Amino acid sequence: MVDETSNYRQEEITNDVFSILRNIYGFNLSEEALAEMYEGTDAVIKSSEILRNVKLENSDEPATIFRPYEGDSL
Amino acid sequence: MTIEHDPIFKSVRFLSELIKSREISSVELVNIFLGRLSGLGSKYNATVTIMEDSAIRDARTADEELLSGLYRGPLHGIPWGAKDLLATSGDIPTTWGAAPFQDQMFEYDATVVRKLASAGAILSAKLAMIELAGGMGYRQPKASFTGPAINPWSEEHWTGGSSSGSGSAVAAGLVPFAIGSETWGSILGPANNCGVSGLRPTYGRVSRHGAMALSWTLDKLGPLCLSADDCGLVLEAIAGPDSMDLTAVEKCFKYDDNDISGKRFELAILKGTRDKLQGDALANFDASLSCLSDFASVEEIEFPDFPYEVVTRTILMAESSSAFEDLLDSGETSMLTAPEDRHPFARMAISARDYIKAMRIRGKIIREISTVLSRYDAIVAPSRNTAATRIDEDFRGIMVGHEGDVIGSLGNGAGLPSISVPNGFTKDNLPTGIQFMGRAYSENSVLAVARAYQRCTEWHLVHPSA
Repeated sequence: MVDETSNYRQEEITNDVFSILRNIYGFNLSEEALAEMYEGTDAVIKSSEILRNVKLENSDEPATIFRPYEGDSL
Repeated sequence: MTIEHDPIFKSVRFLSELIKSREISSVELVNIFLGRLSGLGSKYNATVTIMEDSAIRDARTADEELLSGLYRGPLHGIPWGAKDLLATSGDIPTTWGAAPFQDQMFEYDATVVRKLASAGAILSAKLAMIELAGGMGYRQPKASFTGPAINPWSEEHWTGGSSSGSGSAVAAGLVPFAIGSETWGSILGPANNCGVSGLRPTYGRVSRHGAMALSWTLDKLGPLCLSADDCGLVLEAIAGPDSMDLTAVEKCFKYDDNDISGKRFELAILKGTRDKLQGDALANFDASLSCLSDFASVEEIEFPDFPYEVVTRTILMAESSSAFEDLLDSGETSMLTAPEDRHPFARMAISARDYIKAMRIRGKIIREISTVLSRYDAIVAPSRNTAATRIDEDFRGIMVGHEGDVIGSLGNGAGLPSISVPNGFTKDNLPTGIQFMGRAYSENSVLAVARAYQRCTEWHLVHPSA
């Protein structure tokens, strides 16, 4: 069953985020380019929803390695 | 000295025997391939810079070394081509396939270039590629300032990207091997479309120092060759630690080319794989499975439930928005060739929270998939679901998602090695490919499976007429 409230909310977020992006990067872009940028923004917002629905434990760390650097001379 | 053997479309292993036994000199070999690069490189839009002078000079050195008793190994005196995102010194441009960078120069060589020089290989050309390795979200073969890369099997079809020139140059016999890069599909795609063997090594197996960064935690460099065996020879030369790239692992790679006669392999296939294939691609894949059953068991499996494509895409988009921050902020994306690459700004909407969430999910994926893969030598899958698309055909860009590429998103997201080898042709005479993907650092396993497959098939021995 489609959650219409969720869809409406997602569309609102897409519109708001797109508005910000258009203000920063959108000048000089054609209507066609803006439409593609909107489609891309919508994909980002939908991806965000999918990522946030994945349940993780507090101990699930990001897959990055950070190495403190002691300097070459030490 | 007369040349008894035509060196075109011969394996690196075969050519290296000719060099070692001095049946052919490196200068002779390099001259032959330079002739093909000059004559056919532009026909296929495969080349950016042909390095005639330095290649002949290096080939002379290789011949002199051999005469004096110094043999550097199987790549000694063998010409090769570099995807034009590998930095090269000596006033040779490194264009990244993109108009804003077409005059870019570096004062140093990428580690891979340096390692191949140490192995005696002769860099003969910088090869065409999709602009910025496709990272701006291109949707068409024309997304390169050198024009669309033409498939040697059909001038109306594309090579695949983003290692376009690397795929076509090997397929057309312009170089015996090439180096490409893969962030998501850029080695395996051209290998599939061009009918060559392409190896995506484990993340960190090969130093990326001096290679254009698109996505620091996804970028890998690997060989495209005429056979899986050649991929092993080249990987051994380029793998290994590098103080200039801390992600390059300490583990050394020694190619295991022992005889695999009589060996049986345990393979797995992801449930539903065949359902995504149609027509010739399905027929070729089924024929491959039949061939594999001669020396392997194939078990159907399911992967843990994760949004693989969303995770990998989020990481790629977020990291590329930082890697190309200057380009995006300056507005110079307007100089890119493909119109859709000129406004890649939607990725700026990815939040830090979502990037980190993707990296956390990635951590779970890496652990859980390692457990699944530990029971098998490799996962078998089509390299792509279709053969090459037409040169004038648009496709779905990465910004809104690859369609159904679980194996590709998982393999690249988890940094797993995979090799694509040709497995047949369509009715239009376009190659298709099959891939073998394994656990991290299991290149010798996937190479062994691919070699066994190429022992019982001859698709890798079929070449386009040029």
